[in-house]
Amino acid sequence: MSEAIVVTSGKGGVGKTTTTANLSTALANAGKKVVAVDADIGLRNLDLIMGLENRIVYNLVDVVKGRCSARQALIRDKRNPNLYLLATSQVDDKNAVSPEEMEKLNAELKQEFDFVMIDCPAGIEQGFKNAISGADRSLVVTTPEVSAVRDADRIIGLLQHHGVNTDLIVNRLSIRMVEAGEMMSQEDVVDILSVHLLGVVPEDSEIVVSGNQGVPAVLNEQSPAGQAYHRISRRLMGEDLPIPSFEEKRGLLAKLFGR
Amino acid sequence: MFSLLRKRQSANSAKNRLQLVLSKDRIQLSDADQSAMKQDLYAVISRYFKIAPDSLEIEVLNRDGQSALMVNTALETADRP
Repeated sequence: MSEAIVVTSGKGGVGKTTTTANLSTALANAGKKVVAVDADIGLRNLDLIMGLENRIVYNLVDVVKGRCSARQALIRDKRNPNLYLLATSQVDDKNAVSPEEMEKLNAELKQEFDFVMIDCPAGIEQGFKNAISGADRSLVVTTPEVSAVRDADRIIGLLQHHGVNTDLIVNRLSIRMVEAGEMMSQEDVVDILSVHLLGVVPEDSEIVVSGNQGVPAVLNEQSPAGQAYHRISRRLMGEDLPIPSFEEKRGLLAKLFGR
Repeated sequence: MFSLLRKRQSANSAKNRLQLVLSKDRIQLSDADQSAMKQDLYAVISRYFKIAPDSLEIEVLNRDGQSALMVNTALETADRP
């Protein structure tokens, strides 16, 4: 059974594109057939994060407007033959497609792929409404910061209103700061948003490096964030993989560093 | 030295501030409507109880997909006006 999953957040810059690229890569590495769809029309970035920016011929708007077939626009990943990208247009705006058109596109892609991973634009306007159309479930990405959590709450409300199931990903958690009492823990965030937690991604400078290189961090076994995305991908595939509580993580860290 | 000893624990203030602001956001009424609703509620409740106008708080709680409107106010006395 295929699933269309929209990755969303409300606030910009919290890691939607990074999350989409990493989860898509991890799912494809697990043998699933995956297409990553950049729904952020006008602000194209998923191609860059996946390292496929030089291969774009056609884009999402071309497909929706019937200027080419979906097959023609799909870009195969350099490393994994199971993974494809549908890039977005850099010259059109959010109103170039309608929710109905996105729904139709999702249905078409779901016939070919196990997972359709949709990178949603920031905001709650037309672009958001387009991106969530035809999605079976959503992953809401937030960081443990007041502005990101507030926007996540708004987005969760809108998704529930549209009948889209939501799971939460807490991104860029710094164990050191939580320990010092200067950052909300994953438990704090879940408590505030009262939504199911799918995973926690630690703050990791390797994410910048992976963006620089166009190689998602899941491919780097030394990257803590990459490994966290790997675990989230297993949960997406239905594996019951428990999320360690903050206290358990701290214990592990203490063991590792002998303190 | 003094600032080093003082524990800020800003995570707690983040959580408390968020819970307050979200309870207002979730009402999904404009600021003007919220204020008008408070005034209306104040007018109705003070027909039966003595309350201070600024003690009235309204919020929406979300738990497990259910929403509840909470109206909180302190009674000045249990006496009728």
